[in-house]
Amino acid sequence: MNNQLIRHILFGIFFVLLDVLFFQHLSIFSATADPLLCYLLWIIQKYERVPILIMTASFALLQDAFFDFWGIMMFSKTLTIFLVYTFVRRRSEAQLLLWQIFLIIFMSAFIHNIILFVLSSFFIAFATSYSPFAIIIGNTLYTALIGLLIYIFKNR
Amino acid sequence: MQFRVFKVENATDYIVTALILVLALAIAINRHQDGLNTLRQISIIVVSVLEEPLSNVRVYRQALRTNTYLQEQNILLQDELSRLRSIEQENNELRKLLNYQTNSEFDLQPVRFVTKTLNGINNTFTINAGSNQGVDVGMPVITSDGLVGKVIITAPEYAQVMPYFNSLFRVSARVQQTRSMGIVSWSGEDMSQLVMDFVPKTVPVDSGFVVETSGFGNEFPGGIPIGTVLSTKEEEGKDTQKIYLSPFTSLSEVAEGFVIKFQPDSTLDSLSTQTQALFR
Repeated sequence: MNNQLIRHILFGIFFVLLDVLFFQHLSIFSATADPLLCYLLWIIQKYERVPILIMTASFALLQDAFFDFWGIMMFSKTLTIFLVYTFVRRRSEAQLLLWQIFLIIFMSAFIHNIILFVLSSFFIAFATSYSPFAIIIGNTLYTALIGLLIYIFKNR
Repeated sequence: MQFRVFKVENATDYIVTALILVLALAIAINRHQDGLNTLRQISIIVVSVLEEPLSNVRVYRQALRTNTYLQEQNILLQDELSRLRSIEQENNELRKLLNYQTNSEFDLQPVRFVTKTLNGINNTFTINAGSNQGVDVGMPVITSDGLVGKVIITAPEYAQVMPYFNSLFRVSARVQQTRSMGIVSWSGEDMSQLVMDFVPKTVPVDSGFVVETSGFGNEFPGGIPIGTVLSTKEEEGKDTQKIYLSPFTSLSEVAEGFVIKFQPDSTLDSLSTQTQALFR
């Protein structure tokens, strides 16, 4: 296990904890950001598909454990990363503009939230007073914005 | 968006993904099983331990709102408490006044002090009774504790009072225990004590003795308490001593009182006028 992998694993745990301890309390009209997804999109370019899928599943399972979702995040994040892997890898090879980064995170978060919502509906774990569509769009926008901010912060 | 097209060489990716997804679904479906319940309990404990130190941060905004609300409530309650204390004090004073009115042999007019000027040597009060209520110039103003002053100007519904803390105020007084006479006035300096002059040095006066109006001078009825003796001082080159008094009535606190409808004896006034005429 090389140093980079250890560092990425530790960062992944850090992002899960950041979500559990910080971001889940920063909800805006019931919409919450998912910094772990942004982190996974960021490290996609550094790993092959299988390692990144296993890492995604592990971090998502940890997130599931903290949120008591058990499998829902694991399923939705793994499927999302699987679906967007090629697209993100190819786009990441070139220098991206901010709006392109925002769009990538937005689309990935949208797919993730759709899967999350559909799956949650089966397990009745998605209870809120707001309409599901508003929540999906809200979560997606919020996540994309946070992801963009993290990107800007990282590059500076 | 380009999604991955199935290729045989990438079968491992699909198998791994499928296994992970199946595992995720299995976990989700079996979340209420005993094995997972133990894990759930552990995760809840971990989250609780991690979140506990941050709970103060999380509830910071709520704490600010609560703080503002409590401050508002505190101000309202302080205001209410202040008013209740004032009412209690007023109630006690009125009870004492009622008791005094029952016991007093004088014709009393209850009054309320509507204005107070206690910032110089010409201090004055205004009371809410005047000539329409039978209040006349020269009448003494008292509380259940003792003397306050005398009426100096009257209007139909109001009258102005000269309190004992006025440089022009004089009252004939006596020491209750020794019956020795003197004149009580205010030196104009200390707003906490009065001075009694013209008491012979030979009369022993001790602190704590009570000084009251003598009734002489045909201005105030006798027996109205003025104050207690604080100290005495012999006057150099004279046969008299100065007696310093602490008044019974606190002018800064007084709010209600009585006007004694005391009329000077006209016979005494007439005799006094005749006597003065003899020596002109």
